[in-house]
Amino acid sequence: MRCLGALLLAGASLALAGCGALTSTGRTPTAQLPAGAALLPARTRRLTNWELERSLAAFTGQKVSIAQELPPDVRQEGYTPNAAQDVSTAWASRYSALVQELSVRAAAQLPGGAKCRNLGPECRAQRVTQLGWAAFRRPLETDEEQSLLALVNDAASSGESFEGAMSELLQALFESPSFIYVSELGEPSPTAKVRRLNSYEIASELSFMLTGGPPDFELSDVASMNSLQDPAARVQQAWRLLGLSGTRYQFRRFALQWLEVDRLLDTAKSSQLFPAYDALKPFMLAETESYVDEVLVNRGASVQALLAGGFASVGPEMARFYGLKTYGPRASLTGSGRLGVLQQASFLAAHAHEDVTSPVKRGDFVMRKLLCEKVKRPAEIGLEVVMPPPSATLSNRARLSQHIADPGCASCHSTLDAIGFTFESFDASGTTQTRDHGHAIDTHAEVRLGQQAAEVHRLASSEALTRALLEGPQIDKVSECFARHAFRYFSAQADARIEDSFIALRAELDESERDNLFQVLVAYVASDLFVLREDKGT
Amino acid sequence: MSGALSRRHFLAALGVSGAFLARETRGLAEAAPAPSAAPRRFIGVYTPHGRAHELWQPRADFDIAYPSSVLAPLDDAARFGHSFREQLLVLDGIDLSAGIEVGTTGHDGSRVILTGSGADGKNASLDQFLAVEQGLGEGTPHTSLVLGVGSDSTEVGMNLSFARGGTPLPKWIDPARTFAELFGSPLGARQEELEHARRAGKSVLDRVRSDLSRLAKRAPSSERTKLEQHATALRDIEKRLTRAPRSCASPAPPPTFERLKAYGGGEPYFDAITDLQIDLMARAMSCDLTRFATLYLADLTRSKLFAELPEDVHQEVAHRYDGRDNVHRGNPESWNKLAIQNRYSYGKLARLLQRLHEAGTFDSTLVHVSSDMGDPARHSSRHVPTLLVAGPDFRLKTGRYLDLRHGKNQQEGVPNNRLLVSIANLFGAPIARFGESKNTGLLAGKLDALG
Repeated sequence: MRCLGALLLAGASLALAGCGALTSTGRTPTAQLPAGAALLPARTRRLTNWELERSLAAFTGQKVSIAQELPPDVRQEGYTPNAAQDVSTAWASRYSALVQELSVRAAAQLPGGAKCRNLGPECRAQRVTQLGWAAFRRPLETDEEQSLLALVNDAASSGESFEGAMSELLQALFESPSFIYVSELGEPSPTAKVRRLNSYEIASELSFMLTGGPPDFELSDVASMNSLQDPAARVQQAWRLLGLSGTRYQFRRFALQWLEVDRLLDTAKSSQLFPAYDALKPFMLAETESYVDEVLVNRGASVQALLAGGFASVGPEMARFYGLKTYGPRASLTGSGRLGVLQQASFLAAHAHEDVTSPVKRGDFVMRKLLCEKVKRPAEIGLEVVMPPPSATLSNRARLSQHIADPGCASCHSTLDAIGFTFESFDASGTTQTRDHGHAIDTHAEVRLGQQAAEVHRLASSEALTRALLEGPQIDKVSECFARHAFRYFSAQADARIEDSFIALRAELDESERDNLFQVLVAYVASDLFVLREDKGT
Repeated sequence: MSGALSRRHFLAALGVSGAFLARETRGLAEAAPAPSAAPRRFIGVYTPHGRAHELWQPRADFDIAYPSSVLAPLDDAARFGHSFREQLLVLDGIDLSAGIEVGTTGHDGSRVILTGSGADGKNASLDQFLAVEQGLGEGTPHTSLVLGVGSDSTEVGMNLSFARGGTPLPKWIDPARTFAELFGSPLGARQEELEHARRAGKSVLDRVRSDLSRLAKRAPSSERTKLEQHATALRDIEKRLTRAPRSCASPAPPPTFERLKAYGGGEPYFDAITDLQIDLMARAMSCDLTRFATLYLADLTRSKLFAELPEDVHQEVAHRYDGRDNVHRGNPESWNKLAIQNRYSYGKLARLLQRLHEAGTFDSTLVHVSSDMGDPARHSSRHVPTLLVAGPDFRLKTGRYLDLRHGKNQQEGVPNNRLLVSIANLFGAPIARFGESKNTGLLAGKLDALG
């Protein structure tokens, strides 16, 4: 495989030397799956647009920007990695046109050498083997080699040059299901309902899960030696990948999708009320990205640190927006009323209307993403939503009082709105507000952290809410909920039973490790849950 | 394809009993002459934000041209070259019932319009059912066309067309992309260039198809729908590679727009984009590049097209609609504002019909128009404004208003599933039910099943 690197890559590789501060514990987690635990299904997962972009960039060594050119990914529970992605005609047609162009560029940079000048048989066979292996992330089967060789032969006999034939070969590779899908099939068996992934599938799964890109040379080499069936080898590779600087982009994507701010740039606010919003959106997103990086690498990769880091990673624009005295990667938030991601402008703006705050959206996020409680939508319980009319005199909080006055609405809104009211000191764009239609902002609320929760927390602000979420029995619930969402993203599935299996593994970790996202994912990698798949029928 | 249904058969499939027939507003003469041999075409159109019912409902003698009528563009020969009133069916009382049942309503309601299923439904939308599953789109280079304006989002409530398995089909929202996909190979291209592209493309496609077959053999049956979707995509691409050269002239390439999306500064361009998409769709139909299409329209928010509308049409107009009912007078000012949005949408429909008429494809085309909500202030997916515009080939008795509302205060309606069943039968698919619901009675073709 090392010679493939020399053949293919003219320069950059995605796998840059790491500079992160992640360190392995040096031991292999031994958490066991409980008997009868639900497994992921044997499946083929179409790579997301971003994963395909990274795969093409890694393969060609070129700058590739196709993710935004393709029809958007389908989301499952808000996450793009999932097994529902498919290949529609519109997607396939666009993808084909994009990779055709890339194939021509990449073919022009492939080293030829004397034996390829006339596209001789030895050249053809060698290129098919090497390029096929790199593209499919595994050695080719005999019939695959023959089929690809036939394609190259056909091109040659049609008068194509070396570059022209290689361009066709690359296009065929890039459009092949073996490139577009990640295989998690293992070997089918007529008798067993459980399949074990082969070494190459494990390498792909590990790499796409942790980096969003294909296996690098070292991981491919380990796969070729069939070492990845050994949990210790998987764990070693997992820590190595987590230490690569490019890996942060994958974890950023998870955090931003979890926070539901990844499409912030596609939002708008009233141009009359928030004229600066469009210009500030990129800075808001950049702040959250930097903050997430800092928390994951240097602050224990925990939901606690995400929610209550106590610092901001801001440049001068956002520092001014927040009214901070200083800016930088760890600017102090003392006295600002902000604590972590829930008080960042990206979150507050994404969970608001165009012209006014939304206590309901903010409260609903806390319920779904921090407490893992799904609040039924009005339509699901037969209620029709009538928006309260605008008012020139009432505060937003007063406008929403109908939610509590109506018993049908109160069953959910008494919880949702109370949580959301604690955020009312931040307006729809995320900046601080002290008055609303002439009324002093009131962020006091009696909050139940869950629809069935007995305890009532008397909270004065969203800072107090955040601290309440991270104290006492709540922290276990919040921490487990965060882990569930992480598993949804990183395993690209949304089945509660399979999540239960993951949570069971997590529960076996030491308390100090349970809240560290990396430790938990490595424990997953070491387990049978990572390498076994349930066969749901052939 | 089967012959056209009789009027009574069509209405029976809708579940309309004799009592309802009495409540239709009669307009014009009996059905048109014998159908042509042209293949039948289907277009689905989404209009945003429900309707101002008071100004959507036709008046006596099927008058849709009264001064504040939102349907007036469909009877405006001066502006659109032809009145489409005679081919229009206004259906009042269509409910997106399968969605209401599971909470897929309000802004998620478009999910139900052509599928008859809620958010977790796995069946294809009607256009895809006809084009792909019934094979009616097989004979054209593009099995179907899925267009939109302003948003290519895959969210539940932002799409009309869904593949089998339940995933939304991507919409082309850039007219330049639509043009490139439909008319990309210029007629003047050199023959050897076309041959080269065809050979290389076919070679790649054969290899990809072979890989897909290999994968399908190893994959469990749970993966079948996804891989079949991929195979369908490959067949569609192959059709375009191997088809005979196009015989009709392509239109002029459209301009490119620096912004295309809502919330991203695209709104000022939406009007022009909508017109281009409509024109390209109609041209695609007339060139027989496709026979099945959907179009998801955008609203007027931030477009600044009408000074009398506030910037945020969604919050400030649709949510402020105050409709009239048996006990409540409503607010006429709110009707008039929503009516501006409605009339604008139907103006775009009229443009589409005009283009079809000019191209000679109108007679064999059925256009289904609906919205995600009836009363947008209540986020209600009951009584969604539904229109059918059917060319004479379908032999429907059109030029009428059908009031399907019933029950106390006329709050009950007819599930849209019945309408989808009826349309499928018009295209020769003899199905008795369409959509997904735990309440199977809701899906079936007769109103009696509802009880």
